[in-house]
Amino acid sequence: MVVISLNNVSKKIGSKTIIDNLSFEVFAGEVFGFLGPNGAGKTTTIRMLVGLMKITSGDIFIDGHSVKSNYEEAISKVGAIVENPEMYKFLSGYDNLKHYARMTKGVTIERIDEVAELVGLQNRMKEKVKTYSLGMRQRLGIAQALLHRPKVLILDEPTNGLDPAGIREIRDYLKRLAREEDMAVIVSSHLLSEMELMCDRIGIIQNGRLVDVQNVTDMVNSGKVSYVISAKPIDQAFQLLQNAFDGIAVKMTKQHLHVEGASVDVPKLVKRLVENNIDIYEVKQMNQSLEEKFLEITSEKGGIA
Amino acid sequence: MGLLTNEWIKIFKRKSSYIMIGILAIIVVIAAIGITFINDQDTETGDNGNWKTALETENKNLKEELKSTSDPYKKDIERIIAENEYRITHDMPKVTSYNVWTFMNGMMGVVDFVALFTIIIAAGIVASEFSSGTIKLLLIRPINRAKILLSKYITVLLYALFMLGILFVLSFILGAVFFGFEQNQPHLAYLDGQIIERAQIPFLLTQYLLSSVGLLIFTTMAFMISAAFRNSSLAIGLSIFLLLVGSIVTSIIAGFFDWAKYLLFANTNLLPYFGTGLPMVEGMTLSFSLIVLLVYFVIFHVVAFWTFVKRDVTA
Repeated sequence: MVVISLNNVSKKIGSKTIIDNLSFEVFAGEVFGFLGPNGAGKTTTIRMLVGLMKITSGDIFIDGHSVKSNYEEAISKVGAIVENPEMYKFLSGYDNLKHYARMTKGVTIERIDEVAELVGLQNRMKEKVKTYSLGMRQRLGIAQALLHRPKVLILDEPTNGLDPAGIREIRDYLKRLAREEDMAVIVSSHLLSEMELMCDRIGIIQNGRLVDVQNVTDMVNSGKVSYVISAKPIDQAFQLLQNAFDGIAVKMTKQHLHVEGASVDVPKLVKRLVENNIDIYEVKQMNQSLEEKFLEITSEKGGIA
Repeated sequence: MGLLTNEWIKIFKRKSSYIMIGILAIIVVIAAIGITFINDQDTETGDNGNWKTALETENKNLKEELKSTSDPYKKDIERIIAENEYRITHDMPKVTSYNVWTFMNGMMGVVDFVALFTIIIAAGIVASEFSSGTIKLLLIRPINRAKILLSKYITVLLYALFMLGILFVLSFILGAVFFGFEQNQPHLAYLDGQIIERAQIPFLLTQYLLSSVGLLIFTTMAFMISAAFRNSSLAIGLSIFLLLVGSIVTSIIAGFFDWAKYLLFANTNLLPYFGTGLPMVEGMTLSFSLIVLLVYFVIFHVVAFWTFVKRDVTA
C-alpha cells in the first residue's frame, strides 16, 4: 500500500532549483532509505514532506492527504525528526513528551510511559534534557515521533552520534516498527554501509534529482563480481590469462591479479595457471559494495546533470 | 488550551522568569523602604488648622496666573483651582504624607519595568524556538501555524497581566504595611470642569491599565520583530532602543512638524486624556490616539502572522 507519494515535486528558491521534479513512492511496512551526498537535497525534501517548506510545484500525498491543501490531516499521520533531535533543554524528557502530547489529540499518559520504555529512557525521564547525551536525545526524538502512533516515521540521520550498540538497536527497532506496526519508515543518510543494513529500498538523490530507486538486495547482487588472484610469478600469470580467455579483463597490481567478467570459469582458470607451473596462494571472490555502486551511479548520472 | 499551557510552562521553567519577578519585587521593596526613610526626615510642619486659608491664597494666585498663561497650560491650572475649591467646600485636606494610595500611585512608574520584562519575553517567545531549532518539532503538528503564533501572543499578554497583577498587589500590601491608611480619602478626578470622587482601587486599576497601553504596543512590536526576523537579540535590542529613544525623538519632531502626531510614540501615553499631563501635539484627542494605536497594532499583527505563516522554516 502506498503511504507516501511525491508527484513531480520541485522547490525553487529565487531562480535556483533546489529540488527538480522529484517523484517516488513509499509503501507501508518498508524502510525506505534516502541517500545522497551532502547538499543533494535530502533535508529540503524532508522539510517539504513535513510542511516546513512550501512546495513550489507538484504535490506530496501522505496517506491520501495532500500536504499542500490538507496539511493538518496529512501531518497527523507523520512522526518525524528533522536534522538534529532538538528538544527543550530546560525541560525534563517527560515534560518534553507531555508538551508534544498536548498538541495532538488522543495521546494518553500511559502512551507517554509506553514510548519512553520503548526507547529505553524510562529511568531518565525526570531529568532535564540538558543532561542527556546525543544518543539519548536521539531516542527522545524518536519517542516524540512515535507518540501519536503515526503511519509514517521520518528520521533525518537517525544514527548520528550513536555508539555501535545504539546504532544496532535503532536499526533493529526501525525494522521491527516497519514489519510489526506496518509503518512506512523513511530514513535519510549519507552513510551507505548503514543504509545497506537498515533499508529495504534506497532512493539516491543528487543535485536535487532522483537518480535511482533500487531494492537493496538487487543492488548488492546486481553488482559486478570480480576475482582477486594472488600468484607467483605474477608477470607470467598475467600474460597467460590475458591471452587464454576471451571476454575477461585482467588487471595487474603489484601483488595481485584482478579478473573481471560476467562468466569467469574459475576452475578452468586455476587449472591453466597450475599447468604452467604458477604457484597460487589465494583466489578470492569480490562483490562490489554498495558504496562502489553508489559512487558509480552518482558519478555516471551526475556527469550528465 | 493545550498550546497555552505549553507556552506558559516554557516561560516558567526558565530561571530568567523568576529573576524578573524577583527584580520587580525588589524594586517595590526598595521604593517602600526608601520613601519611609525620606518621610521620617521630612518632619511635617503642622499647619493643620489653616490649610483652608492656604488653599484659598493658592487659588487666588493661580487665578491671577491664569490670565497670563497660554492655552495648553490653562486646563491644568483650572483643574488645580477646581480641586482646591472642592477640598475647601467638602472639608478634605490635601494628603500631606504618604499613604497606601499615594505609594501605589508612585509605583505606577514601575509599569515601565513590567513593559521591559514583557518585551524580553515577547522578543524571545518566537525567536528562541528558531535559534534552538525546536521550531521544527513544534510546527510539524496537526495545528496550523497561525494558531501556534496566536497562542504565543496570548501567553505574552497573560504574562504582562500576571506581572502587572504582582506589581499591583505587592505595592498595595507594602504600601499598607509601610504607610497605612492615614488620611484615607477618595481620588478626586477632574472631568469636563467637574470634580468627581472616585474610589481609590478602581481608579488605580484603570491608571495602571492606561499606563500599560504603551506596554501593549511595544510588546506587540517586539513580538512582530521576533516572528518576522526570528532573532531574539534583535527583537529585544530594537524594541528597547525604540522604547527609550522613540518618545524623545518624537517630541523633538513634534516641536517642528505637525505630522509627528501620527507617530506611534506620540500616542502611547493616554494619561493626558484622563487629566494628567499634556498630549505631545496640540489638538490630539483620545479617539485620534486610539485609532493611530489600532492602526499600528493591526500592522504589527499582519506582519507577524504573514511572515510566520508564509515563510519557509530553515532553522
